[in-house]
Amino acid sequence: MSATSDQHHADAVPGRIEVGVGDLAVSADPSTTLITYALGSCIGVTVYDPVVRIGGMLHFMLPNAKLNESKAQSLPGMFADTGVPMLFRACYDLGAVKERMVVCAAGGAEVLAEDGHFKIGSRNRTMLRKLFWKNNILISGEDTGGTISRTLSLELASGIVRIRNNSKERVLWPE
Amino acid sequence: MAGMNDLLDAIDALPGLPDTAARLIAALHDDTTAPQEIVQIMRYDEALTSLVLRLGNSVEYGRPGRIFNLEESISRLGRMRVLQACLQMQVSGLLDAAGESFGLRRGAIRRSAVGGAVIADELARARDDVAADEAFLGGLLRDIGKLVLDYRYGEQYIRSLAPHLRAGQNVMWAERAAFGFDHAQVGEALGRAWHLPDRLASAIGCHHDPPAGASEHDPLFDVIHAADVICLWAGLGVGDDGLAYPLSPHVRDGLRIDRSLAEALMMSAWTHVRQLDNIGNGSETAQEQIL
Repeated sequence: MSATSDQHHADAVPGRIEVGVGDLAVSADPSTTLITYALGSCIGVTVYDPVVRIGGMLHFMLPNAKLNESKAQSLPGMFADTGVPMLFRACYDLGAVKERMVVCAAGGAEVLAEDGHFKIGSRNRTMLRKLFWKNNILISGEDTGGTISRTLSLELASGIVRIRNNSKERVLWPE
Repeated sequence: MAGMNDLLDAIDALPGLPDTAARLIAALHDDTTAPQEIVQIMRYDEALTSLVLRLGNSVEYGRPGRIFNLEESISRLGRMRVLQACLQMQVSGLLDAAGESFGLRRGAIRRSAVGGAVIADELARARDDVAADEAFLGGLLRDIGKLVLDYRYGEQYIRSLAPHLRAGQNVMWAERAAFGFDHAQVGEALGRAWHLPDRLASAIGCHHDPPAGASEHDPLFDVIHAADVICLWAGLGVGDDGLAYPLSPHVRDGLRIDRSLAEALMMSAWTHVRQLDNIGNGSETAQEQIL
C-alpha cells in the first residue's frame, strides 16, 4: 500500500504515516496516526472501523480519472472516482466492514473570488458526495469549502479525526 | 510596523547565492561576456559543470556525432538554459528549508517551486511571446520572498496577519496592512539583490497581481501568475494563507486557461514533483529529470 507523502522524507515521525497528494494509506496498527497536510482544493477522506480499529486515508486532487486514464492507472489515488473505491477495498482487505465504517472528509476549498470558471474544489466535493450517495455511505464528519488550508489526521487507537487550520485544531469525529 | 528597509537588512543578512551562481548570473546576463569567461567561472563547480556537459550532450539538443566540451555545451544550450540549470541546482537547497513564515512544512516551497516552473514552462511553450526557459525560472523563483520572511519573522509572520485578514480580500492586502509590504515585493527585492534579470525580478514582484494595462502588461508576468495559482489548486505550496489568491481574469482569458487545461497542468506539475521525490531530492539525476 502506498504511503508516500509530499513531506514525509523531511521529518517522519514514528507511528505516523503521512499521506501525500494522490496517495492513500491504510493500517490495522492501532498505534498509527494517518495524517495529510495542506489540503486546499484537494480532499482528504478518512475511513475507520471502530470495532477492529482499521482505518485509511486518501488525499485526492481531481474528481474524475477520465482526465488522464494512463495517470489513473499508475496513480489511482489522484482521482476521487478511482481512489475512493480503492481506499474502501484496501480497508475491507484488512478486515473492516462497510456497515461499521465511519467516514469523514475535509478540504475542497475554492480559490478566493473564483467566479465559477474552474470550481476545482466544488467539483471534488460533488464527486465525493455522488460516490457516497451511490454506495449508501453517510459522511459522519465533514469540513469542506471556504478558502482555507487544512491538515487532517486520523488516530487509529481512538478513531478521532482532527482538523487543523492556522494553528487551530478541532475534533471532526466524534462530534 | 516594520518597513521595507527592515526587510532589506534581512536580505543583507541572508546567506547569498553561492559564489558561482552569483557570478554566473552576472556573466550570463551580460551579452558581451565571452563564452570562455563563463567557462572559467563554471569550471570550478564540479557538479554544475557535469550537469551542463550532460545537458549539452543530450539528444534534446540534437543527436551528437561527437562529444561536446563545456564551452560548446554552453553554446548549444543557450545562456538562459545554462542560467536555468545553475539556479535550479543552487537555489533548490535554499528553498527546501523555506516556508515557515507561511506555515509550510519543510520541502513544500521547493515542491511548489518545481511545480510552478513546470507549469510556467508548459504555458510558455504554447505561446510565441514568452521564452520557456525564462518562464521556468520565474515559476521556480516566484516565492523566494518567503526565504527573507522566514529569516526575519519565522512562524510569527502569518500569525501577525490575523488581525488584518478580511473576508473576501487576499492575504497580500493583510501583509501590506500589517507590515507595509507583501511577500511578492520582498521576493522582487531579493531577486534584485541577487542580480536576477530585471524582467524576472519584476515577474516575481507581481506574481499575485500582474498588471493588465497595456503600458505595464507583460505576458511573462501572466504566465508566472497563472503557474502560481494553478500550483495552489494542485495542493502545492498551500500554507496557512490557504487559497486566498485569485486568478486574474485578464490572465485567464489571455492565456485561454479553461478547466481542462488547468487540470492537465496540475497533473503535469505533480508528475514532475513526484519524479523528483522518487529519485531523491538533490541528486544530480533528479535535476536532470526536471530540466
